[in-house]
Amino acid sequence: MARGKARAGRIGFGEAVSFVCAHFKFNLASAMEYRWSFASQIVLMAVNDFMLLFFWWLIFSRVPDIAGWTFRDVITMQSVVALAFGLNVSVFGNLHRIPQLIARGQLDYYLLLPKDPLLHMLVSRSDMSGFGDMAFGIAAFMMFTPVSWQRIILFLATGLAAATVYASFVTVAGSLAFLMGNAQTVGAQLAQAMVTFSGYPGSLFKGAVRALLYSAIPVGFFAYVPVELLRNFSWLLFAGLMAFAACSAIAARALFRAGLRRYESGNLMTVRA
Amino acid sequence: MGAARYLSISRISFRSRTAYIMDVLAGSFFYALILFVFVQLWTTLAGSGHFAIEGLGARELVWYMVVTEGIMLGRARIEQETDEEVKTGSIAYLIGRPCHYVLFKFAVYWGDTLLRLIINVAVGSLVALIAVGPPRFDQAHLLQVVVSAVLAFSLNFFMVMCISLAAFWVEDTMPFRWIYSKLLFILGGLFAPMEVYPAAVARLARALPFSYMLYAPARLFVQYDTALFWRIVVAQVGWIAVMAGLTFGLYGLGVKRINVNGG
Repeated sequence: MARGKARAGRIGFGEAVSFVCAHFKFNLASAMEYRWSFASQIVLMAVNDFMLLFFWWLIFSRVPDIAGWTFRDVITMQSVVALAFGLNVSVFGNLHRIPQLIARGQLDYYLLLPKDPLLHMLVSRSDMSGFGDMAFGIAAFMMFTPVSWQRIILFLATGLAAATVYASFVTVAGSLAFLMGNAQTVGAQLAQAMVTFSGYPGSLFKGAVRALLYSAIPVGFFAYVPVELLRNFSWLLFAGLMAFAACSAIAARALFRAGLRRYESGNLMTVRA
Repeated sequence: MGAARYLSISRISFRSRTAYIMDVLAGSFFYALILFVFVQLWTTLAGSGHFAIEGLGARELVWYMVVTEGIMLGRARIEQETDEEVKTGSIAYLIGRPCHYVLFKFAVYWGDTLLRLIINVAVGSLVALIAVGPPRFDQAHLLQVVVSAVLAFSLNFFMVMCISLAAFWVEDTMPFRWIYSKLLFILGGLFAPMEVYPAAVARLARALPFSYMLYAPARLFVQYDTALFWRIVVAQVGWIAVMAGLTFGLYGLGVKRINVNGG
Protein backbone atom coordinates (compact mmCIF):
# COMPACT_ATOMS: atom_id res chain seq x y z
CA MET A 1 0.00 0.00 0.00
CA ALA A 2 2.69 2.44 1.08
CA ARG A 3 4.86 1.40 -1.88
CA GLY A 4 2.04 2.12 -4.29
CA LYS A 5 1.48 5.48 -2.66
CA ALA A 6 5.21 6.25 -2.82
CA ARG A 7 5.26 5.67 -6.58
CA ALA A 8 2.21 7.83 -7.01
CA GLY A 9 3.98 10.64 -5.15
CA ARG A 10 6.78 11.07 -7.71
CA ILE A 11 6.75 14.48 -9.36
CA GLY A 12 8.99 16.27 -11.85
CA PHE A 13 11.54 18.93 -10.87
CA GLY A 14 9.57 21.85 -12.32
CA GLU A 15 6.39 20.71 -10.65
CA ALA A 16 8.23 20.26 -7.35
CA VAL A 17 9.64 23.81 -7.53
CA SER A 18 6.22 25.35 -8.19
CA PHE A 19 4.75 23.21 -5.38
CA VAL A 20 7.41 24.43 -2.93
CA CYS A 21 6.90 28.06 -4.05
CA ALA A 22 3.12 27.84 -3.64
CA HIS A 23 3.44 26.45 -0.13
CA PHE A 24 6.08 28.99 0.81
CA LYS A 25 3.92 31.89 -0.38
CA PHE A 26 1.04 30.59 1.71
CA ASN A 27 3.24 30.15 4.81
CA LEU A 28 4.70 33.63 4.31
CA ALA A 29 1.26 35.25 4.06
CA SER A 30 0.19 33.38 7.16
CA ALA A 31 3.26 34.50 9.15
CA MET A 32 2.79 38.13 8.07
CA GLU A 33 -0.56 38.22 9.85
CA TYR A 34 1.46 38.64 13.06
CA ARG A 35 3.57 41.56 11.95
CA TRP A 36 5.53 42.26 15.12
CA SER A 37 6.41 38.60 15.47
CA PHE A 38 7.32 38.34 11.79
CA ALA A 39 9.51 41.46 11.69
CA SER A 40 11.14 40.92 15.07
CA GLN A 41 12.04 37.30 14.32
CA ILE A 42 13.84 38.31 11.14
CA VAL A 43 15.59 41.44 12.39
CA LEU A 44 16.61 40.06 15.75
CA MET A 45 17.84 36.76 14.30
CA ALA A 46 20.11 38.72 11.95
CA VAL A 47 21.36 40.80 14.90
CA ASN A 48 21.79 37.57 16.89
CA ASP A 49 23.96 36.10 14.12
CA PHE A 50 26.11 39.21 13.83
CA MET A 51 26.77 39.03 17.57
CA LEU A 52 28.29 35.58 17.04
CA LEU A 53 31.10 37.19 15.08
CA PHE A 54 32.20 39.05 18.20
CA PHE A 55 33.93 36.01 19.65
CA TRP A 56 35.94 35.47 16.48
CA TRP A 57 36.84 39.14 16.34
CA LEU A 58 38.23 38.78 19.88
CA ILE A 59 40.31 35.75 18.95
CA PHE A 60 41.60 37.11 15.66
CA SER A 61 42.58 40.41 17.26
CA ARG A 62 45.21 38.31 19.09
CA VAL A 63 46.24 35.76 16.46
CA PRO A 64 46.60 36.07 12.67
CA ASP A 65 45.10 32.64 11.99
CA ILE A 66 43.91 29.42 13.61
CA ALA A 67 45.75 26.51 12.00
CA GLY A 68 45.60 28.28 8.62
CA TRP A 69 42.09 29.73 8.90
CA THR A 70 41.84 33.52 8.91
CA PHE A 71 39.04 35.75 10.21
CA ARG A 72 37.79 36.10 6.64
CA ASP A 73 37.57 32.31 6.26
CA VAL A 74 35.52 32.06 9.46
CA ILE A 75 33.15 34.81 8.27
CA THR A 76 32.80 33.03 4.91
CA MET A 77 31.94 29.80 6.73
CA GLN A 78 29.40 31.52 8.99
CA SER A 79 27.84 33.20 5.92
CA VAL A 80 27.44 29.99 3.93
CA VAL A 81 26.14 28.07 6.94
CA ALA A 82 23.64 30.83 7.84
CA LEU A 83 22.39 31.00 4.25
CA ALA A 84 21.99 27.22 4.08
CA PHE A 85 20.42 26.85 7.50
CA GLY A 86 18.10 29.84 7.00
CA LEU A 87 16.95 28.52 3.64
CA ASN A 88 16.10 25.18 5.22
CA VAL A 89 14.15 26.44 8.22
CA SER A 90 12.23 29.04 6.22
CA VAL A 91 11.29 26.76 3.31
CA PHE A 92 11.48 23.28 4.92
CA GLY A 93 10.12 24.33 8.30
CA ASN A 94 9.21 20.76 9.30
CA LEU A 95 12.75 19.49 8.73
CA HIS A 96 13.60 19.32 12.43
CA ARG A 97 10.19 17.82 13.31
CA ILE A 98 10.46 14.65 11.19
CA PRO A 99 11.04 12.25 14.13
CA GLN A 100 8.12 13.79 16.03
CA LEU A 101 5.75 13.50 13.05
CA ILE A 102 6.75 9.88 12.44
CA ALA A 103 6.53 8.87 16.11
CA ARG A 104 3.08 10.42 16.51
CA GLY A 105 1.77 8.85 13.31
CA GLN A 106 1.18 12.27 11.76
CA LEU A 107 2.36 11.33 8.27
CA ASP A 108 -1.08 9.98 7.39
CA TYR A 109 -2.21 13.32 6.05
CA TYR A 110 0.69 13.50 3.55
CA LEU A 111 0.38 9.87 2.49
CA LEU A 112 -3.21 10.34 1.44
CA LEU A 113 -2.44 13.16 -0.99
CA PRO A 114 -0.99 12.76 -4.51
CA LYS A 115 2.22 14.73 -3.79
CA ASP A 116 5.61 13.47 -2.71
CA PRO A 117 5.06 12.85 1.05
CA LEU A 118 8.56 13.90 2.10
CA LEU A 119 8.50 17.15 0.15
CA HIS A 120 4.94 17.91 1.19
CA MET A 121 5.73 17.32 4.84
CA LEU A 122 8.86 19.49 4.73
CA VAL A 123 7.18 22.52 3.12
CA SER A 124 4.07 22.43 5.30
CA ARG A 125 5.62 24.74 7.82
CA SER A 126 7.94 27.78 7.73
CA ASP A 127 10.07 29.37 10.40
CA MET A 128 10.48 33.04 9.52
CA SER A 129 13.62 33.45 11.62
CA GLY A 130 15.33 31.70 8.70
CA PHE A 131 15.05 34.96 6.76
CA GLY A 132 17.16 36.60 9.45
CA ASP A 133 19.82 33.91 9.03
CA MET A 134 19.80 34.35 5.28
CA ALA A 135 19.97 38.15 5.60
CA PHE A 136 22.95 37.79 7.93
CA GLY A 137 24.67 35.31 5.61
CA ILE A 138 24.36 37.55 2.57
CA ALA A 139 25.18 40.78 4.44
CA ALA A 140 28.22 39.35 6.24
CA PHE A 141 29.56 37.89 3.00
CA MET A 142 29.14 41.20 1.16
CA MET A 143 30.52 43.33 4.00
CA PHE A 144 33.51 41.34 5.19
CA THR A 145 34.79 39.35 2.23
CA PRO A 146 35.93 40.51 -1.24
CA VAL A 147 32.97 40.82 -3.59
CA SER A 148 32.76 40.06 -7.29
CA TRP A 149 30.01 38.62 -9.47
CA GLN A 150 31.84 35.31 -9.72
CA ARG A 151 32.19 35.09 -5.93
CA ILE A 152 28.53 35.98 -5.35
CA ILE A 153 27.39 33.29 -7.79
CA LEU A 154 29.76 30.78 -6.17
CA PHE A 155 28.54 31.80 -2.71
CA LEU A 156 24.92 31.19 -3.72
CA ALA A 157 25.76 27.90 -5.45
CA THR A 158 27.75 26.57 -2.49
CA GLY A 159 25.03 27.82 -0.14
CA LEU A 160 22.42 25.82 -2.07
CA ALA A 161 24.65 22.75 -2.04
CA ALA A 162 25.27 23.17 1.71
CA ALA A 163 21.51 23.55 2.27
CA THR A 164 20.92 20.30 0.37
CA VAL A 165 23.57 18.46 2.39
CA TYR A 166 22.07 19.73 5.66
CA ALA A 167 18.47 18.93 4.69
CA SER A 168 19.48 15.44 3.54
CA PHE A 169 21.43 14.71 6.71
CA VAL A 170 18.63 15.89 9.00
CA THR A 171 16.10 13.90 6.95
CA VAL A 172 18.18 10.74 7.33
CA ALA A 173 18.65 11.42 11.06
CA GLY A 174 14.91 12.04 11.45
CA SER A 175 14.07 8.90 9.47
CA LEU A 176 15.72 6.85 12.21
CA ALA A 177 12.31 7.19 13.86
CA PHE A 178 11.02 4.57 11.41
CA LEU A 179 13.45 2.11 13.03
CA MET A 180 13.61 3.34 16.61
CA GLY A 181 10.14 4.73 17.21
CA ASN A 182 11.19 7.70 19.31
CA ALA A 183 14.20 9.29 17.61
CA GLN A 184 13.57 12.90 18.61
CA THR A 185 16.56 13.06 20.92
CA VAL A 186 18.95 11.29 18.55
CA GLY A 187 17.73 13.37 15.59
CA ALA A 188 18.10 16.62 17.52
CA GLN A 189 21.58 15.66 18.71
CA LEU A 190 22.81 14.79 15.24
CA ALA A 191 21.47 18.09 13.86
CA GLN A 192 23.03 19.87 16.83
CA ALA A 193 26.39 18.21 16.15
CA MET A 194 26.23 19.34 12.52
CA VAL A 195 25.50 22.95 13.51
CA THR A 196 28.05 22.99 16.34
CA PHE A 197 30.97 21.73 14.27
CA SER A 198 30.04 24.09 11.42
CA GLY A 199 30.74 27.07 13.65
CA TYR A 200 34.48 26.43 14.06
CA PRO A 201 37.44 26.25 11.67
CA GLY A 202 37.73 22.85 10.02
CA SER A 203 41.49 22.84 10.59
CA LEU A 204 40.91 22.36 14.35
CA PHE A 205 39.82 18.77 13.83
CA LYS A 206 42.29 16.05 12.99
CA GLY A 207 42.45 12.28 12.58
CA ALA A 208 39.35 10.24 13.31
CA VAL A 209 37.21 13.28 14.12
CA ARG A 210 38.09 14.83 10.77
CA ALA A 211 37.21 11.59 8.98
CA LEU A 212 33.88 11.56 10.83
CA LEU A 213 33.18 15.14 9.75
CA TYR A 214 33.57 14.19 6.09
CA SER A 215 31.48 11.02 6.32
CA ALA A 216 28.93 10.12 9.01
CA ILE A 217 28.33 13.76 10.03
CA PRO A 218 29.12 15.57 6.76
CA VAL A 219 30.00 18.98 8.23
CA GLY A 220 32.94 19.10 5.82
CA PHE A 221 30.60 19.35 2.83
CA PHE A 222 28.19 21.62 4.71
CA ALA A 223 30.72 24.19 5.93
CA TYR A 224 34.40 23.55 5.18
CA VAL A 225 34.41 22.68 1.45
CA PRO A 226 32.43 25.86 0.56
CA VAL A 227 35.10 27.91 2.37
CA GLU A 228 37.86 26.13 0.48
CA LEU A 229 36.06 26.80 -2.82
CA LEU A 230 35.58 30.49 -2.03
CA ARG A 231 39.24 30.71 -1.04
CA ASN A 232 40.80 28.69 -3.88
CA PHE A 233 38.28 27.70 -6.50
CA SER A 234 38.76 24.36 -8.19
CA TRP A 235 36.34 22.82 -10.68
CA LEU A 236 37.14 19.36 -9.34
CA LEU A 237 36.24 20.29 -5.76
CA PHE A 238 33.15 22.16 -6.96
CA ALA A 239 31.99 19.12 -8.93
CA GLY A 240 32.71 16.95 -5.87
CA LEU A 241 30.56 19.18 -3.64
CA MET A 242 27.68 19.23 -6.12
CA ALA A 243 27.89 15.46 -6.62
CA PHE A 244 27.91 14.87 -2.86
CA ALA A 245 24.89 17.19 -2.40
CA ALA A 246 22.94 15.45 -5.20
CA CYS A 247 23.81 11.95 -3.93
CA SER A 248 22.91 12.85 -0.34
CA ALA A 249 19.51 14.20 -1.48
CA ILE A 250 18.80 11.04 -3.49
CA ALA A 251 19.93 8.83 -0.60
CA ALA A 252 17.84 10.76 1.94
CA ARG A 253 14.72 10.48 -0.22
CA ALA A 254 15.32 6.77 -0.82
CA LEU A 255 15.87 6.09 2.90
CA PHE A 256 12.74 8.00 3.82
CA ARG A 257 10.71 6.02 1.28
CA ALA A 258 12.21 2.75 2.55
CA GLY A 259 11.33 3.84 6.08
CA LEU A 260 7.73 4.53 5.06
CA ARG A 261 7.26 0.77 4.62
CA ARG A 262 7.76 0.42 8.37
CA TYR A 263 5.52 3.38 9.18
CA GLU A 264 2.59 2.70 11.47
CA SER A 265 -0.35 5.02 11.22
CA GLY A 266 -1.57 6.70 14.39
CA ASN A 267 -5.13 6.95 15.64
CA LEU A 268 -4.61 10.59 16.55
CA MET A 269 -7.21 12.81 14.92
CA THR A 270 -5.63 15.95 13.50
CA VAL A 271 -7.23 18.90 11.80
CA ARG A 272 -5.35 21.09 9.32
CA ALA A 273 -7.18 24.35 8.90
CA MET B 1 5.77 27.57 56.58
CA GLY B 2 6.04 29.73 53.46
CA ALA B 3 9.59 28.62 52.69
CA ALA B 4 8.69 24.97 53.31
CA ARG B 5 5.93 25.23 50.71
CA TYR B 6 8.36 26.48 48.07
CA LEU B 7 10.95 23.87 49.08
CA SER B 8 8.32 21.21 48.45
CA ILE B 9 7.64 22.69 45.01
CA SER B 10 11.38 22.55 44.25
CA ARG B 11 11.55 18.95 45.41
CA ILE B 12 8.61 17.97 43.21
CA SER B 13 10.17 19.80 40.24
CA PHE B 14 13.48 17.95 40.84
CA ARG B 15 11.75 14.58 41.06
CA SER B 16 9.57 15.14 38.03
CA ARG B 17 12.68 16.07 36.05
CA THR B 18 14.30 12.76 37.01
CA ALA B 19 11.42 11.05 35.15
CA TYR B 20 12.88 12.60 31.97
CA ILE B 21 16.47 11.77 32.76
CA MET B 22 17.24 10.85 29.13
CA ASP B 23 16.24 14.34 28.09
CA VAL B 24 18.64 15.83 30.63
CA LEU B 25 21.41 13.46 29.52
CA ALA B 26 20.75 14.52 25.91
CA GLY B 27 21.45 18.11 26.94
CA SER B 28 24.74 16.92 28.43
CA PHE B 29 25.72 15.44 25.07
CA PHE B 30 25.73 18.94 23.58
CA TYR B 31 27.65 20.21 26.61
CA ALA B 32 30.32 17.53 26.10
CA LEU B 33 30.41 18.28 22.37
CA ILE B 34 30.97 22.00 22.80
CA LEU B 35 33.65 21.34 25.42
CA PHE B 36 35.39 18.98 23.01
CA VAL B 37 35.37 21.67 20.29
CA PHE B 38 36.82 24.24 22.67
CA VAL B 39 39.48 21.83 23.90
CA GLN B 40 40.64 21.70 20.26
CA LEU B 41 40.44 25.49 19.90
CA TRP B 42 42.28 26.43 23.09
CA THR B 43 44.98 23.77 22.72
CA THR B 44 45.57 24.80 19.09
CA LEU B 45 45.80 28.48 20.07
CA ALA B 46 48.04 27.73 23.04
CA GLY B 47 50.28 25.64 20.78
CA SER B 48 50.57 28.46 18.21
CA GLY B 49 52.50 30.60 20.70
CA HIS B 50 50.60 33.77 19.71
CA PHE B 51 47.75 33.48 22.15
CA ALA B 52 48.82 34.18 25.71
CA ILE B 53 46.78 35.55 28.61
CA GLU B 54 48.51 36.04 31.92
CA GLY B 55 47.79 33.12 34.23
CA LEU B 56 45.33 31.52 31.84
CA GLY B 57 46.63 28.67 29.72
CA ALA B 58 44.71 26.07 27.76
CA ARG B 59 43.93 24.15 30.97
CA GLU B 60 42.41 27.19 32.72
CA LEU B 61 40.46 28.22 29.63
CA VAL B 62 38.94 24.74 29.29
CA TRP B 63 37.98 24.62 32.99
CA TYR B 64 36.64 28.16 32.69
CA MET B 65 34.30 26.87 29.97
CA VAL B 66 33.31 23.88 32.08
CA VAL B 67 31.86 26.40 34.56
CA THR B 68 30.38 28.95 32.11
CA GLU B 69 28.77 26.35 29.81
CA GLY B 70 27.75 24.31 32.86
CA ILE B 71 25.74 27.31 34.07
CA MET B 72 24.49 28.28 30.60
CA LEU B 73 23.23 24.79 29.77
CA GLY B 74 22.39 23.86 33.35
CA ARG B 75 19.86 26.64 33.96
CA ALA B 76 16.27 25.46 33.66
CA ARG B 77 14.46 26.82 30.61
CA ILE B 78 11.36 28.31 32.15
CA GLU B 79 11.07 31.16 29.66
CA GLN B 80 9.12 29.32 26.94
CA GLU B 81 6.67 27.92 29.47
CA THR B 82 6.19 31.27 31.20
CA ASP B 83 5.73 33.04 27.87
CA GLU B 84 3.01 30.55 26.91
CA GLU B 85 1.31 30.80 30.28
CA VAL B 86 1.04 34.54 29.82
CA LYS B 87 0.01 34.43 26.14
CA THR B 88 -2.56 31.66 26.47
CA GLY B 89 -3.96 33.06 29.69
CA SER B 90 -3.30 29.83 31.63
CA ILE B 91 -1.50 32.04 34.15
CA ALA B 92 -5.00 32.80 35.45
CA TYR B 93 -5.17 29.27 36.86
CA LEU B 94 -1.73 29.53 38.45
CA ILE B 95 -2.25 32.82 40.25
CA GLY B 96 -5.19 31.32 42.10
CA ARG B 97 -2.89 28.93 43.96
CA PRO B 98 -1.86 29.62 47.56
CA CYS B 99 1.61 30.79 46.54
CA HIS B 100 3.04 33.75 44.69
CA TYR B 101 3.39 33.08 40.94
CA VAL B 102 6.96 34.44 40.68
CA LEU B 103 8.15 32.52 43.75
CA PHE B 104 6.40 29.40 42.47
CA LYS B 105 8.38 29.72 39.23
CA PHE B 106 11.57 30.34 41.23
CA ALA B 107 11.03 27.11 43.17
CA VAL B 108 10.32 25.13 39.99
CA TYR B 109 13.39 26.69 38.33
CA TRP B 110 15.71 25.60 41.12
CA GLY B 111 14.34 22.07 41.26
CA ASP B 112 14.89 21.63 37.55
CA THR B 113 18.26 23.40 37.53
CA LEU B 114 19.69 21.30 40.33
CA LEU B 115 19.44 18.00 38.44
CA ARG B 116 20.88 19.49 35.23
CA LEU B 117 23.70 21.04 37.22
CA ILE B 118 24.65 17.79 38.96
CA ILE B 119 24.84 15.97 35.62
CA ASN B 120 26.68 18.81 33.91
CA VAL B 121 29.29 19.01 36.67
CA ALA B 122 29.93 15.27 36.27
CA VAL B 123 30.07 15.35 32.44
CA GLY B 124 32.08 18.58 32.19
CA SER B 125 34.62 17.49 34.79
CA LEU B 126 35.11 14.16 33.03
CA VAL B 127 35.70 15.77 29.62
CA ALA B 128 38.09 18.39 31.04
CA LEU B 129 39.99 15.88 33.19
CA ILE B 130 40.59 13.64 30.18
CA ALA B 131 41.49 16.53 27.88
CA VAL B 132 43.62 18.84 30.02
CA GLY B 133 43.97 17.28 33.46
CA PRO B 134 42.72 18.54 36.85
CA PRO B 135 42.19 22.26 37.54
CA ARG B 136 44.62 24.23 39.72
CA PHE B 137 41.94 24.84 42.32
CA ASP B 138 42.21 25.08 46.09
CA GLN B 139 39.29 23.19 47.62
CA ALA B 140 39.23 25.69 50.50
CA HIS B 141 37.55 28.13 48.07
CA LEU B 142 34.84 25.72 46.93
CA LEU B 143 32.15 27.29 49.14
CA GLN B 144 32.83 30.78 47.73
CA VAL B 145 32.56 29.49 44.15
CA VAL B 146 29.31 27.68 44.99
CA VAL B 147 27.88 30.86 46.59
CA SER B 148 28.75 32.87 43.48
CA ALA B 149 27.24 30.19 41.21
CA VAL B 150 23.99 30.10 43.24
CA LEU B 151 23.71 33.88 42.97
CA ALA B 152 24.46 33.65 39.24
CA PHE B 153 21.61 31.17 38.67
CA SER B 154 19.25 33.32 40.74
CA LEU B 155 20.16 36.45 38.78
CA ASN B 156 19.50 34.56 35.55
CA PHE B 157 16.06 33.59 36.83
CA PHE B 158 14.99 37.18 37.39
CA MET B 159 16.42 38.34 34.05
CA VAL B 160 14.54 35.57 32.23
CA MET B 161 11.32 36.30 34.12
CA CYS B 162 11.48 39.97 33.11
CA ILE B 163 11.77 38.91 29.45
CA SER B 164 9.01 36.31 29.74
CA LEU B 165 6.61 38.67 31.50
CA ALA B 166 7.00 41.08 28.59
CA ALA B 167 4.57 38.68 26.87
CA PHE B 168 1.84 40.69 28.63
CA TRP B 169 2.62 43.48 26.17
CA VAL B 170 4.26 41.96 23.05
CA GLU B 171 3.16 39.13 20.73
CA ASP B 172 6.34 37.11 20.89
CA THR B 173 9.22 37.25 23.38
CA MET B 174 11.40 34.73 21.58
CA PRO B 175 13.53 37.34 19.76
CA PHE B 176 14.30 38.98 23.13
CA ARG B 177 15.41 35.60 24.43
CA TRP B 178 17.81 35.21 21.49
CA ILE B 179 19.29 38.60 22.19
CA TYR B 180 19.54 37.81 25.90
CA SER B 181 21.42 34.60 25.17
CA LYS B 182 23.78 36.48 22.86
CA LEU B 183 24.36 39.17 25.47
CA LEU B 184 25.28 36.39 27.88
CA PHE B 185 27.57 35.03 25.20
CA ILE B 186 29.32 38.35 24.56
CA LEU B 187 29.09 40.43 27.73
CA GLY B 188 28.71 37.41 30.00
CA GLY B 189 32.01 35.90 28.86
CA LEU B 190 30.58 32.51 27.86
CA PHE B 191 33.49 31.36 25.70
CA ALA B 192 36.32 33.57 26.87
CA PRO B 193 37.13 35.43 30.10
CA MET B 194 37.13 39.23 30.30
CA GLU B 195 40.94 39.13 30.30
CA VAL B 196 40.75 38.38 26.55
CA TYR B 197 38.47 41.38 25.89
CA PRO B 198 39.62 44.87 24.95
CA ALA B 199 39.67 47.08 28.07
CA ALA B 200 36.64 49.21 27.03
CA VAL B 201 34.44 46.14 26.34
CA ALA B 202 35.55 44.49 29.60
CA ARG B 203 34.65 47.69 31.51
CA LEU B 204 31.23 47.77 29.87
CA ALA B 205 30.68 44.07 30.66
CA ARG B 206 31.56 44.58 34.32
CA ALA B 207 29.08 47.46 34.55
CA LEU B 208 26.23 45.21 33.34
CA PRO B 209 24.67 42.14 35.01
CA PHE B 210 25.58 39.55 32.35
CA SER B 211 29.17 38.91 33.43
CA TYR B 212 27.98 38.16 36.97
CA MET B 213 26.12 35.12 35.66
CA LEU B 214 28.94 33.38 33.82
CA TYR B 215 32.32 35.09 34.03
CA ALA B 216 32.25 35.78 37.77
CA PRO B 217 31.88 32.22 39.14
CA ALA B 218 34.12 30.79 36.41
CA ARG B 219 36.88 33.32 37.07
CA LEU B 220 36.75 32.55 40.80
CA PHE B 221 37.05 28.87 39.96
CA VAL B 222 40.14 29.16 37.74
CA GLN B 223 41.84 32.10 39.53
CA TYR B 224 40.50 32.66 43.01
CA ASP B 225 40.95 36.05 44.66
CA THR B 226 39.24 36.92 47.99
CA ALA B 227 38.90 40.67 47.24
CA LEU B 228 37.39 39.83 43.85
CA PHE B 229 35.00 37.36 45.49
CA TRP B 230 33.53 40.06 47.75
CA ARG B 231 33.25 42.54 44.87
CA ILE B 232 31.44 39.90 42.82
CA VAL B 233 29.04 38.92 45.60
CA VAL B 234 28.10 42.55 46.29
CA ALA B 235 27.45 43.14 42.57
CA GLN B 236 25.45 39.91 42.23
CA VAL B 237 23.25 40.70 45.24
CA GLY B 238 22.75 44.27 43.96
CA TRP B 239 21.71 43.09 40.48
CA ILE B 240 19.42 40.43 41.93
CA ALA B 241 17.68 43.14 44.01
CA VAL B 242 17.23 45.33 40.91
CA MET B 243 15.98 42.54 38.64
CA ALA B 244 13.74 41.02 41.33
CA GLY B 245 12.18 44.46 41.89
CA LEU B 246 11.61 44.79 38.14
CA THR B 247 10.15 41.26 37.91
CA PHE B 248 7.64 41.83 40.71
CA GLY B 249 6.80 45.25 39.25
CA LEU B 250 6.17 43.83 35.77
CA TYR B 251 4.15 40.98 37.22
CA GLY B 252 2.02 43.41 39.26
CA LEU B 253 1.32 45.52 36.16
CA GLY B 254 0.81 42.48 33.93
CA VAL B 255 -1.77 40.63 36.00
CA LYS B 256 -4.01 43.71 35.84
CA ARG B 257 -4.21 43.13 32.09
CA ILE B 258 -5.54 39.57 32.39
CA ASN B 259 -9.07 39.13 31.11
CA VAL B 260 -10.71 35.79 31.82
CA ASN B 261 -13.52 34.93 29.46
CA GLY B 262 -15.45 31.72 29.87
CA GLY B 263 -14.08 28.53 31.40
